[in-house]
Amino acid sequence: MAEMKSMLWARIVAFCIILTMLVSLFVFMVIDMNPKGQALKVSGYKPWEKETVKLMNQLPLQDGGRIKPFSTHAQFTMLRLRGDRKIEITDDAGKKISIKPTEWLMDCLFRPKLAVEMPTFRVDNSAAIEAIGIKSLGLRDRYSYKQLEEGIPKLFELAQSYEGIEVKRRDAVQKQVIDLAYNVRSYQFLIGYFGFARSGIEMKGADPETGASKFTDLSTVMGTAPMIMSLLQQNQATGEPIPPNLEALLQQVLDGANYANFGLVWLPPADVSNKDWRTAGDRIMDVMTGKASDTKEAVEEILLMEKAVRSVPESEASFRKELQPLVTRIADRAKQREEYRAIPAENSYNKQNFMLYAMVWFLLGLLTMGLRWFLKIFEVPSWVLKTASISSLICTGLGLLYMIMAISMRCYIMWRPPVGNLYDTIIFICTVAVAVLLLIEYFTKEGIAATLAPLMGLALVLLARRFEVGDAKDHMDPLVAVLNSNYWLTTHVITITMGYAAGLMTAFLSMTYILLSGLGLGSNLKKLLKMVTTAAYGGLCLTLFLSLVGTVLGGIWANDSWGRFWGWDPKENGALMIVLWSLIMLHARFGGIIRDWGFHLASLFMACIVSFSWWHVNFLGEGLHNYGFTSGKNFIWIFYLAIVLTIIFGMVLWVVEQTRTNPNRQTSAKS
Amino acid sequence: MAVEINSEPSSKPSKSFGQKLFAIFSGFPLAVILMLILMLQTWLATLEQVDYGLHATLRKYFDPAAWYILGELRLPEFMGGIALMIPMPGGYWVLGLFFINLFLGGIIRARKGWKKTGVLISHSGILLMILSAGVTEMTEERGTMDFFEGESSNVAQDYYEYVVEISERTAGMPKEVHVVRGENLSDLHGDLAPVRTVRLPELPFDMQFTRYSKNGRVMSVNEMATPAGTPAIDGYYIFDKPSAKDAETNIAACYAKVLPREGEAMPSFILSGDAFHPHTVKIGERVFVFQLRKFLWQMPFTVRLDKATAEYYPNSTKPKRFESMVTRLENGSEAKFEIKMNMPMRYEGLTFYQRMMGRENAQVENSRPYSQLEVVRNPADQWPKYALYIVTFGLFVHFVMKFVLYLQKNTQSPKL
Repeated sequence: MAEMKSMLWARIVAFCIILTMLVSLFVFMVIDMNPKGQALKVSGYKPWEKETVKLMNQLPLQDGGRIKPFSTHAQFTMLRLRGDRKIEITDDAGKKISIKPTEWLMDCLFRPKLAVEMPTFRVDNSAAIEAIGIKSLGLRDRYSYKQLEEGIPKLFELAQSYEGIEVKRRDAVQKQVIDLAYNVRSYQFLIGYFGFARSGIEMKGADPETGASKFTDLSTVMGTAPMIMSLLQQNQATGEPIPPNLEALLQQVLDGANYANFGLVWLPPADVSNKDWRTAGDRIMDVMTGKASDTKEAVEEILLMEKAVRSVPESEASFRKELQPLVTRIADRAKQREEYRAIPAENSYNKQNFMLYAMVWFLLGLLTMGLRWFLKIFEVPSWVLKTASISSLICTGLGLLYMIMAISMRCYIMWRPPVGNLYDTIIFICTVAVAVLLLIEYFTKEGIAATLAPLMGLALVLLARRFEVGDAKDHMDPLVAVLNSNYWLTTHVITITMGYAAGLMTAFLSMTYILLSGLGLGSNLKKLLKMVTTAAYGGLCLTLFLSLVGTVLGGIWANDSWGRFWGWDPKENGALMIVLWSLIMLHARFGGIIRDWGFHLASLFMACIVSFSWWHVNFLGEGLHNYGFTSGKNFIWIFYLAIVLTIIFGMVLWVVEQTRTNPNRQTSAKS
Repeated sequence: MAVEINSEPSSKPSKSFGQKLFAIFSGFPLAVILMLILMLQTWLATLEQVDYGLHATLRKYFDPAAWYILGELRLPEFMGGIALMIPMPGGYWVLGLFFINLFLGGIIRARKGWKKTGVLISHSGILLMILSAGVTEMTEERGTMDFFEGESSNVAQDYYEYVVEISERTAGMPKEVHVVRGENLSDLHGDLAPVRTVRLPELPFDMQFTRYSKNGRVMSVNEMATPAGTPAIDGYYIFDKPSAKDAETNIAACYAKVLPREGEAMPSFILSGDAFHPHTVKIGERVFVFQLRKFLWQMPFTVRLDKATAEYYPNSTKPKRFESMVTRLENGSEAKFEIKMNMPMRYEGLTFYQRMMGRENAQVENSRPYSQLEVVRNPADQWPKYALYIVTFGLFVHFVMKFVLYLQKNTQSPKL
C-alpha cells in the first residue's frame, strides 16, 4: 500500500470525486433553500399577522381521504402549483417579503387581487408559455396569474387537444401545457372560492325596464330557499317561464356554489355517520335544492364566511374577529366527531420543520468532520482532533434526533407504522443508515463511519426534500385497502427498507475504501482499509439478512392478499436482485473468487442495484408498487454514471496496485 | 451463507471423473455463475414486462420447454434505444441446476460443525423455497369467482385457458357438457396451421379444429381485407392479434368443423370467446351447441355472497376496505366467513382472496354490488412461509455467531 502514496494522479482523482460529491450536495442545498423565480413587485402587500396565521392553521379540512390542518393543505397546494415552499415578492418600498404556504393560500382565498400578482405557477418549459402566446421569462421560471391571464383561453384549448394524445406519446411541451392548465384551473377555483361572499347577489327588480337592482347576501337568499322552490314549482305547474329576475338570481347562486365547490372541503356534517365533509358550494346547493336536513346551520355557516370575507378590507384585527367563530365552529364539530386528534400535532410538525434542521445538523457534522480530516494532515494535537470528532458526532447525533422525532410525529399523525410510501422510505433509510454508521463508529472509532454518517444523512434529507417538491403530494395521506395492514407494514416494509439502508451504507463504505486507497492517507491507511473491509462485510451480511427476510415476508403478504407468493412485480424483483447480489458476493468471497478489491468493487455496484430496486422501478410504470411518478428520472442515470466511474477508478487502482506489488504476477489473477 | 470447503492437499491422488463432476456441481464457481444468471434474468424480465406484459415475459424466461432464451435489453433513448439480445440458458433449468448445486454444495459437501449450523439451516430453507416454487409452477390452478349479493357459485373461471364446450340441447337446456381444452389446441396456429381432429365417441360426430388464435378478433371482410391464406366463413375471418400485455384479457378464437359419422359433411364455422351466442348445429333431430369460453373448474362446495362491502376514504376514490361476507355451503351444512384484503378463506386446499368489488351500474348509487374472489389451488401455498422461518432462523444464528466472534476478537486487541 506504501506505493500508493506516490500515485499523485490517484490522489487527484479521488480528491476530485470527493469534491464533486460535496459541491453537488452544496449546490442542491442552495437550490433547495432559495425561493425560485424572480421576486415580483406586489403593490399594497401587507404580510399577515402571526395571530391570524395561527388561527387559520387551526382550521381542519378534508383532503386526500383524511382530515388535515389548513397548513398542510396549503403546503402541498403551493408545492403542486409553484414547486416550492415559499414565494418571494417585493413591496412598494422594494423590501423583500417571503410568503409561506399558509399565508399564500390565505391570500388566494381572501385577497385574490394581491394573490394574482404573485409568481405562483411553475413552468419548466418556456416553449409551453410561448405556445399560449405569452412572452417567456426564462427556460424555467415562475409566472403570476396576471402574467398568464391573456393566454389562459389558448392554454385551455391546447390542453384539451393534447389530452387526446396517449400519455406515453406526449412530448415535454404538451405535458407542461396540460399540467399548467390543471394548475391554473385549480387556482381559479381557489381565488374564486369566496366570490359569493365578496360580490353578494344582485336582486333585479321584477320589471327589467324600470325595476331597480339591490344587493343582498347569499346567506339571505339561502334563507328564502323554500319560497324560491315554491315559486319554481308554481311556474312548473302552470307552464309559465321563470321570471328573468329569478333566473338571474338562481344563476348567480349557481355560479357562487360552483366556484365554492373545489379546493376547500372544510365543513364537517352534523351527522357523525356521514364521513364526507362538505364544501361551501355543497352547503349552498344542499339548501337551495332542499336536500339539507340542517338548513339553519348551513345558512349560519355561509353567513359566517360572508362576514369574515367582507371584513378583510377593514382591518386584519376585524378579519380575525370575524374568522374566529367560523374556525371555532368547524374545529369544535371536528372534535365532536373525533376527527381533530392529529391537527395540533400536524401543525406542530409543519412548524418545527424537522427535515430542515436535520439537514443543517448533518451539514455541520460533515463540515466538522471534514475539518478534523484536514487538521489531521498537519498533525495538530490530538485534543483538537478529538474535539472536532466529538463536535461532529454531536451534530450528527442531533440530526439523527431530528429525524427520529420527525418519523415519530409522522407515525402519531398517520396512526400507522413509519413506512407506507416512497417518501417515508427516504427518511427511514436516512435514519437507519445514520444510526448504523454511528454504531459502526462506536465499535471502530476511526472516524470513517462518523464521516459517512452525516454525508449520507445530508444526501438523503436533500433527496427527501427534492422528492417532496417534485412529487408535490401529501405523503401522510391514508393507504389503499390492500396496503393498510399495520402488521405487514411493520414487518415486511420496515425490514425491506432497512435492507435498502444497509445496502446503500455498505456500498458507501466500499466507496470509502476505494477513495481512501486513492488518497493514500498516511501510515494508518492499511489499518483503516482493514476496518472498512470488516465494516462493509458486516454491512453486507446485514443487507442480505434484511433483504431476504423482507422479500420473503413480502411474498407471504402477497400470498395472503392476492394468492401468489411471487408475482414478478418490479419491486419484488429488485429486492430479489439485492438478495442474489449479496449471495453472489459472499459466495464469491468465500470461494476465493474475489478478495478485498473485488469485494469492494462488487459492493459499490450494490448501490446501483439498491437504487434500481428502491427508485428506478417506479419509472417503469408497471406493478403493484408503482408510485407513478417521473420526476428525477435523469438524476438516476447521473447516479449510475457516478457509481460506474468510481468503480472504473477503483479497477484502475486495483490493477496498478497489483502490478506494483507483484510485477511478475498476471493482473488477470483473482482479485 | 458462506461455507468454507476443505481445500484438497496436492499430495492426494487425482480425482476420478465422478469426483470431478461432483466438485463442479457442488462448487462455489457454479453457484456464483448460476446466481449471476438468475440475477440477470430477473433484471431483464423486469424490464421486458414493460413492453410485453408479465405473462408473456414469464413464459419466455421460465418455460420448461426453453433450454435457452434471448434476453432483451432495450437501451435508454439517450443511448439510441436499440435492443441488445443476450443469449442465456432458460430460467427453469438454471433454477433446477441451482437446486442441485445448493443441495450438493450447501448440504452434502459443506463443512459440518456447530459454527456452520446456521448456514446449513439457511440452505435447507432455501431448498424448500425453490421446491415450493417448483410445486407451485407445476400444480397451481388459478381462477376467479364473480357473483352479486345473494348469489351462489360452485365454479371458478380460469384466468387464461379457453375451452370448447359442446352440449346437446334438450328442452332448451344443456344435457351433458363435453369439453375440449384450449391447451390441446394452442399449437394449431400459423400460416400453415395443422388441423386436429378430436374424437367424441359419446356424440354422433367428431370435431375438427384449426387456426386456434390465443387472441383473435373476428373481423368482417368488409372491415378489413382477409390476409393471404386466411379462410373467410360467411364473410368473416379470424384476425390473429399478438397476445395482450395483460394475458387474461386475451380472447381466443378458432375455426371448427363438425364431422358427422353419418350423413353429409357440414361446413366450417368460427368459434370466438366473445361471441354473443353459441353456435348451433342440428344433426338429425338432435340440436348441439358449441361455445368457446374460459375454462370453468368445479369446486367441492358452494359459496354464497351474503354481503359485499366496498368502503372508500371520504371524498376520494381511494379504497379503504373491501370485504365479502360469504357462506360456505357443503353437504347441507353452512359456515359463515369474512373474506377481506389480507385475510383470505382457506378450505379444502382452496384459497379464496378478495380481488375486486363493484356495482352492477357504477353510475347508480344503489345498484347491486358484486364481488370478485380469486380462487387458487396450490398444495405449496404455505411452504414459503415455513421456508422463511427456517432461513431467518439459520441466518440469524450464523450472523449472530459471526458478530460475537468478531467482538471476542476485537476485545482481545483493543482496535481493529
